Amino acid sequence: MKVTRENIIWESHQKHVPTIDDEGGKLWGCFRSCFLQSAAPYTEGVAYKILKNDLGIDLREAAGHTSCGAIGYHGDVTTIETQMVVAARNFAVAHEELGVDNLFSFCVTSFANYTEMIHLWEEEPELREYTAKILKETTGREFWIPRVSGNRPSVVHASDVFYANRHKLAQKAKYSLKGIKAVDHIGCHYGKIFPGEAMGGVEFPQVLVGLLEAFGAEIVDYPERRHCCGMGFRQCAFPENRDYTASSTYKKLASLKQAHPDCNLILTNCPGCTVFLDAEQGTIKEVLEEEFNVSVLDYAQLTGLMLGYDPFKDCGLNAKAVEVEPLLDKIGIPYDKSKTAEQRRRPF
Amino acid sequence: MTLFETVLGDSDNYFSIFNTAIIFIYMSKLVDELKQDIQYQHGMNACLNCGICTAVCPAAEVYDYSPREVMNICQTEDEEWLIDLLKSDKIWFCGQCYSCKPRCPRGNSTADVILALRRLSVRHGYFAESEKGRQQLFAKRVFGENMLKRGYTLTAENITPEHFPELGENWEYYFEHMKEMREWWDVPMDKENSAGSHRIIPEKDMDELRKIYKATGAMELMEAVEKGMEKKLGSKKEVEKFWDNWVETADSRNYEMKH
Amino acid sequence: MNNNVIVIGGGPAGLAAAGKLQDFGLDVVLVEKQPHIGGHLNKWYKVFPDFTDASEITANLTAGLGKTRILTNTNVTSIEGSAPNFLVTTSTGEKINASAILVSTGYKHFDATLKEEYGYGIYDNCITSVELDMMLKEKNVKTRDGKIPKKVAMIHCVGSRDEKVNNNYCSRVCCTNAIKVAIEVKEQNPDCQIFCLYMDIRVFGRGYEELYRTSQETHGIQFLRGRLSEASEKMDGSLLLRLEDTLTAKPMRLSVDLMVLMVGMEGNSELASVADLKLGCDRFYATAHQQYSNNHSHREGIFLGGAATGPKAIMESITDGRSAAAEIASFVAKNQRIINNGQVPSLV
Ligand SMILES: Cc1cc2nc3c(=O)[nH]c(=O)nc-3n(C[C@H](O)[C@H](O)[C@H](O)COP(=O)(O)OP(=O)(O)OC[C@H]3O[C@@H](n4cnc5c(N)ncnc54)[C@H](O)[C@@H]3O)c2cc1C
Ligand code: SF4
Ligand code: SF4
Ligand code: SF4
Repeated sequence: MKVTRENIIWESHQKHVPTIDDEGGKLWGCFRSCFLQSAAPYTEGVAYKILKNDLGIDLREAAGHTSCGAIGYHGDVTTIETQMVVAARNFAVAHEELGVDNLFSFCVTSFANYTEMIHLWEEEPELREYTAKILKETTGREFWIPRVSGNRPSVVHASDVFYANRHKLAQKAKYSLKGIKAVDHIGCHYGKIFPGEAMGGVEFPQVLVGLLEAFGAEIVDYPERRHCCGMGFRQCAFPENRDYTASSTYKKLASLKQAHPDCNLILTNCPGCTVFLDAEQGTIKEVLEEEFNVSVLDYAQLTGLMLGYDPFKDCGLNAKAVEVEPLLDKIGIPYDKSKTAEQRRRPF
Repeated sequence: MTLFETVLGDSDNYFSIFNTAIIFIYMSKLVDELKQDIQYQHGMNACLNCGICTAVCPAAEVYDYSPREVMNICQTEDEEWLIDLLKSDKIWFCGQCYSCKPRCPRGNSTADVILALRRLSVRHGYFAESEKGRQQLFAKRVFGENMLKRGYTLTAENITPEHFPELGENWEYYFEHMKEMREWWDVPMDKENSAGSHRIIPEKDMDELRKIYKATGAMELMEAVEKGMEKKLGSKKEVEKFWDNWVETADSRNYEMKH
Repeated sequence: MNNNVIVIGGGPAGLAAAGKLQDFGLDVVLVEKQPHIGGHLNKWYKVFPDFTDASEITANLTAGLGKTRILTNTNVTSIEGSAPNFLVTTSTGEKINASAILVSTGYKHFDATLKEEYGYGIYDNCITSVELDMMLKEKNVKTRDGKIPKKVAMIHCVGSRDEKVNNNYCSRVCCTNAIKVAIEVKEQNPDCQIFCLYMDIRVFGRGYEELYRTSQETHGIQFLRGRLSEASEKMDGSLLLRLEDTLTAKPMRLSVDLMVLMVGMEGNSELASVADLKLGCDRFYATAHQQYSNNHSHREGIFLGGAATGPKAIMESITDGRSAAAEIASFVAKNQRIINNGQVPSLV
């Protein structure tokens, strides 16, 4: 797990993620996220619609995939050996049962976890043998490693697929972010563990900025941009630790507000950041009586909005602590104004 | 004459040195165990004490915690310090964000070292000595057992408004109308024999997963959590009380520790 | 066999060597690729430890060149034959016979853009030590928008002692240089507060420690023991630095108006293939033996001097150049003796 110079120059961070016009770019296997399905399920819903309907991707997933278990790994209930074999099993299922070669995951921690295991197999042949052996013994399955980016052993993240196809998506967009200030917040596990696997590297990643730019947004920077959102696995999972999460969010948003008070949009690619950068604004409002009113959307929600999907029914903006309507008005995205804010969010 | 002979030349000294050597060999087991961990091997090269990691660590801003300090304690390979560390809250403060990894001029990764330390702490029962360490029971029963039962570390039922009040009133509404809301959003839940969000994973796949967890030491690690808690709290019953308190009050500190 | 020696590279090491070689009665051709001789001295204003004007050093060394033939704007394109009968071709097409060759091609500066987290090339008020020396020379140390900086940070070890940029060695001169420029900035702008962010203060030469002490005692330069982790830009163009003050074990944020990166030295391996020279793992030229043959390359008749074999200060480079001259003179004399005695020179 050594990072050398090649990983620092950003040009070399250009992952080769096939677009839908490239060979193999229309057939993808994907792994769902247990964080999203529990705390923000609509994201995968709108992402699916975009990938299938708007990009025409043949998106496959198996009923038998399991979670990669990485929340348990960073939450200390599994071993690295467990992670390797579970990863190998999910790869084997995708390859054998679905016939896919290209894989992405919806969760950045999954992406990092799969990447970590692939790196381990590359660097430690014994671990690779171990994994193949245990996989065979426990499941009867054959060891297989996906090669997505430039035929290197690798998987990518869902936001990479959006980034790769960003110009296509922008062409189809009904709305534009022209005149809208926005900034990215990259999930730590997208780039900090393996900078070489992040589109654009870890310090100035391109993956979300590229998408925002394609939709016409004005990108801003602020001093605490690279600071962690504070999700922190056990820190956000257990309420008694959540000061950690709230204070990180506070630090970031206070810094953003000072630098760009008129920036009300943070784009994310990690389920944790999407949920907590938003939710903790609620806590901050209650405890400190300070309001930031920054909408935190992920790449799929934002793209959905741009393409004209319904903000609530499709993009799931029902459950945000920060009201999204001011941002929708600013961009010029219509929504049912005959209903009250509550009615829009509570259909039953 | 070698240095060793010089020291041993004095017969009085002989025994004390010899004893120290034995104690050292006996005592150095934990350090050796730590050094066996592949994640420790990859995460710990040598530390310059430059502070780059601590400078950006979100945990260091909130807690009395410093990744540099952790690296240093490990670097001394001092058994007593290591045990103190394993018993302390410190190793549980880390948020596993890996902000410390990409910039370390020595290619270290405290985040990975922390994982090795936590597993060591669990295996030896030291985790139960600290307040944050005891939260491991929740991690085990939520993330771990979810995996074994459902194939997911988290499930929809975990994100209760009681434990996640910051998600607000709209979340409360969603939680009450979970099934309908998910259908409305086009992500129906708990479907069988089908791909999709929050689906029921077929039993044969779950079996494979459980076998993997058993064969790769995850079960053992999880069992060590239950055992360690039982030892610390005195009985299985107390462990259940500790758990019930957390489920109800969302704060483990409401359980009164006897010692 | 001829009496010619070719010195490639006209920095302090090459100039010092050429001067001595022609004193020994050899015919010296000095090949310099730049329009002017002097090497890095041409970039420096006053040099540590005694604030000698760099131009004075160049003038002194140049005065000693005697009848050395100087070819500026010239490169060496091929070296044929073997010692003591080399045939050197230059970029102007000239072919020169030589019995020995000195490679004193010095070093290159670390490319600071590779430390992306410091934002060089991105942030206006992040400059390198090379740029600062120019500013000092013009007595114009200012921020990009022309203001006199109130707070300046000197960032040590940029591109040195850092696995992430594949440079594990210490560049040796940058600590003393940081202290030197800190004093100069303070002298030009007495109201300025200056912080040196260091890991170890490596001031080892005669007069260096005294310079360090003076900087603290007389000029009030502040030393913070912590390596810079990241810099970000604030709206007013000032920079927010994140480091840990490791002596008090506290993470801290420091705002400065100007930040100067003490860029390290990197080996200049341009001639590696032309002269068939080996590189050390630090990518400086390898010597035949680090202890007792440190001016010999692995090829007989090709010698090395100055910063080409590793980071050196000016005085050391000069001494090393002269030491190489002595080795060359003895090599040529030995070969001439052998030929005069009617023996065939051995080519080991
Ligand atoms: C930021 C900084 C500040 C410094 N400040 C000081 C200071 O204050 N005091 C001090 O003592 N030292 C200082 N130094 C160190 C000093 O610069 C070096 O010791 C010195 O320049 C080394 O001399 P040199 O002749 O070996 O190499 P160089 O000065 O690098 O000269 C090499 C010469 O070779 C030429 N050359 C290169 N390749 C070829 C080629 N292929 N063909 C022909 N010619 C070629 C170059 O053009 C150059 O003229 C500093 C260094 C740095 C990085
Ligand atoms: S960044 Fe690396 S070398 Fe520096 S203190 Fe942290 S672990 Fe040690
Ligand atoms: S992974 Fe842990 S130690 Fe490293 S920066 Fe994040 S919180 Fe700090
Ligand atoms: S001389 Fe000082 S600043 Fe330069 S690399 Fe060495 S320790 Fe770092």
